[in-house]
Amino acid sequence: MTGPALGLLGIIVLLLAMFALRVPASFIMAIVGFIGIVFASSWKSAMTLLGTDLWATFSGYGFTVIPMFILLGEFIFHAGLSDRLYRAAHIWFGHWRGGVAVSTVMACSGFSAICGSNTATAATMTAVAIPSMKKYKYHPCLMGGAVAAGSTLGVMIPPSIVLVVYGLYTGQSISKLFFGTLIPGLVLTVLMMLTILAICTRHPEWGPKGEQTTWSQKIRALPEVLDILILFAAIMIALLSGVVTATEAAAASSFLGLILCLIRRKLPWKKFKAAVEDTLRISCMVFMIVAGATIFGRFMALTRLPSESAQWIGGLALPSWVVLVLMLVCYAIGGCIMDALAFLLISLPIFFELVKQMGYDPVWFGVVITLITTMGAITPPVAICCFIVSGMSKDISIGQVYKGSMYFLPAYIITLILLMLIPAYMVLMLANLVR
Amino acid sequence: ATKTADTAPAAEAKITPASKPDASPAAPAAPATPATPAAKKVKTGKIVLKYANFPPASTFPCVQMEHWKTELENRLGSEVEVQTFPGGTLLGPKNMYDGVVSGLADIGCFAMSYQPGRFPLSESVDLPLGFSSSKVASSVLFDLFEKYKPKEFEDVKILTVFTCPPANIMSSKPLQKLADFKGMELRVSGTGADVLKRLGGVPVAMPQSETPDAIQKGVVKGIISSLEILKDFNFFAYCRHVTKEDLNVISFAVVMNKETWDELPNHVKAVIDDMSRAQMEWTADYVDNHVLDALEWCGTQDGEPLKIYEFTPAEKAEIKKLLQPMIDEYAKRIKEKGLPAEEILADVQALKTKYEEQFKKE
Amino acid sequence: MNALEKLNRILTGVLAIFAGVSVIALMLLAAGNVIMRLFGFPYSGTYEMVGFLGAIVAAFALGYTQVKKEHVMVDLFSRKYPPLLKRFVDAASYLLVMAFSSLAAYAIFESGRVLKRKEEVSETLKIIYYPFVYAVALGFAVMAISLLIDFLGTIFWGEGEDSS
Ligand code: NA
Ligand code: NA
Repeated sequence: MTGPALGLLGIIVLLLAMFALRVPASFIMAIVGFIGIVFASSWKSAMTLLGTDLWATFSGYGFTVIPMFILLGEFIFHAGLSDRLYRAAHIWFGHWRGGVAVSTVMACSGFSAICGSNTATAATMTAVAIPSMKKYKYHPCLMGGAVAAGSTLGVMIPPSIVLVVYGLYTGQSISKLFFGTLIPGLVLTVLMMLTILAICTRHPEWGPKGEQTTWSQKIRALPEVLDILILFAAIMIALLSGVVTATEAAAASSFLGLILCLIRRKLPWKKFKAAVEDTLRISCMVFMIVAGATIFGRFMALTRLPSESAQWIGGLALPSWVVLVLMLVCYAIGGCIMDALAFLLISLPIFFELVKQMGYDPVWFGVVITLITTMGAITPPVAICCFIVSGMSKDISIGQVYKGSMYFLPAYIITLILLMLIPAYMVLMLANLVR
Repeated sequence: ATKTADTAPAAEAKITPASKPDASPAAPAAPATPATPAAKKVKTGKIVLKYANFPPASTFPCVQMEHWKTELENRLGSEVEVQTFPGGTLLGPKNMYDGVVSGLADIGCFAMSYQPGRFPLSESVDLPLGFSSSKVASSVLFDLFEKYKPKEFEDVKILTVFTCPPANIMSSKPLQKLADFKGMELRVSGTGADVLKRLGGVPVAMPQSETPDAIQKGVVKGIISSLEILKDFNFFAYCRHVTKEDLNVISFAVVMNKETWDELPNHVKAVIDDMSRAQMEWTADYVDNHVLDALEWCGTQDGEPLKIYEFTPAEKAEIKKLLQPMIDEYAKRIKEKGLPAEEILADVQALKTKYEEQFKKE
Repeated sequence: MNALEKLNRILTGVLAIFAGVSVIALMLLAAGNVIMRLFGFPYSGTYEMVGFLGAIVAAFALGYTQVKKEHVMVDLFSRKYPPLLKRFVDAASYLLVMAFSSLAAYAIFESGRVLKRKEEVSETLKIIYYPFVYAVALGFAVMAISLLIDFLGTIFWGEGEDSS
């Protein structure tokens, strides 16, 4: 068996093995991908690819943003700064059911403004948000779902790795794409906050209501979060004014965070050590997930399953909107079974030509597939953001994160429908402001 | 296990000269011989070749790949199918050669310049010699490979070689004189890193995908590369200043897995060999023209127009002096590897002079 | 068993110390470059060095991450297996990942050897970098040893029950 049929078999084997065996998700993707390459090509080529791909993933500059942002999150967490942030959030919004989860989504959205990757956002926000939400007795499904879904904003709010890749591959202006995704990103943020309120109406015990607080209590809570606001402002200024890459911003803010914690004597050696240890474990887990998805993606590319299905859809004599919907279904399924970015790389050369021929606006299409692919990061079974959230918080099972995330799917679908119905207001208005 | 008589290395070097017309006498002469024992690639009745490439589909290395595919399929009819894998989905820039040797892809296109030290012969063409076009540099590289048959390529079959057009400086801020290089961070690849360092700048080897963002933020001030990326990757959006100084080129090779090659029927081998030089020339012509197209295209775009600067003759001489040690160091380095450094460099210079002259007239 | 467990912890712990030093070095190097750039002296090798250090961080933490059972598993159904089946599947899974990690270690080591033999150097700094590749291979080798110990534990002592 070769070609697309082998690819399909590979997907089935991956799903069975992932659920039946007790092998970490990252490794099962890598193992099935590796065995698939042996069948599709040869033992020798599978070994060559394994060696070179693992090295390339582990040593890639782009990925070093992950340990740096995790380190920042861990310093903040171990120094108790995130506790204070969440105490303030609780005082301000805690009297609503799910109020702290709502502020978590807001924080995700804010963090997305400085970070272009959903995996890095997931790792950082899990470190910061989950332990604090736990204190207020939030349900694991709500916590896991809110952070996993919120982290997908990482690529919907500019800057965005997916849009950069899309822009480079299609020659579209990256600034136009960034402006174009701003409104959909904010709409999605608001819809996610509404989703949390809706979940809490249905399961009131998932996001317990806090005490009503007075305005003077609220004002007094603010100085508490001064440190973290300074840090946040520093990162924002550094990134927006320029002169640093994402990795550098993360490294510099970790360094600043460390200094801040040392000055306030919040980070004794023991806590510093714990922060570094956590960073190691989480970074390693995230790197392995990326590596596993890469190897499985190689196998998929080799079988030509993604490109042949894309070509098949392209060849159908159907009205253009049907082709568009089929494409989106393709991206949604692709996002379920493999890393969304890898699928984007494979399918884009085929789909993009088609979209241009059908007369759709390329910037608009970029925003639409960014939405669909980032949704893929929380749709089971291969759901990278869910893996990270569950992997980082010992008492939230992957099932609970899956379940919690599913509640947020309508938010994506509504955003998608809005994008289809009123593209002018959602995307083009702002995108066309760019020269 | 099928070794036909003419798979000896000598046969591989037999490359049709440029002057020969496209219709090769070798192609129709050898009808498919059923006597050839069943080989892996031929067993199914159709020869399927997997061709991997690392940059995005719209770039010139991928355009030449599609051209080669079309050309081969035209010449051989339904006998062959070339499956292309652009965009690094199958193999990336740094594992392409090893991936082809292992057989993951039958054919791979890669840039030698991204793996310094490993492909010493082609590094001679990567030196900042001031080639005026891809056509000249590619022709020099091609002849050099024919003459020296580099040992570093011994475990693959070379299908063709070519280079990108000479790298120039594109920046978000004007770079008008040599002194402006001081402390300037520019994205470079290949030998460009060394070139920039010697001119006083700071080379940054970030992935191209991160470069636009980095230029916008000011992390790097521009990019040293051939100019077609102004259009292909829309670097025009970030860089409105071009300093026209032909620096280095980046050399590429298209290689085939040795076993795949050995298993191909003779008439297919003949067609592929016959296409080798023509493919190099087609690619070089295409990309040289593409640079002109890109510059023209920049003129049609809105906003601040592209400004082009040139160094003064005195500065050009100074640059030459600053970069000369690179050539000396290269000679020393490859001499240690047992290569005839002086002879190679003399050949490069002679070929460069010859082709600069030849293509100027056209 | 205790001796094996102890060996496992020492081995993974030592590598983890190197990984920890690397992550701090990574932070200082990248942050330092920001400061240097502000003063107009950015250091050109930073990007490459940061990438290499990142590789050490992730690879040297592999075994340590395995000891702490951090690698996330989709155990929706397998969590509910009866104890004996679970023990069996656990053992098989450890064996599978161990085999893979050993292969990965060997494959990475081999690709490092190619770099060494072909005298390839890094793009900007022009330094030999195969030792970093070897280091990543070492990380996977230690991961394999750690999994072997987990496997033995599951078979003979019924341990290796993960806490996640
Ligand atoms: Na973002
Ligand atoms: Na998914």
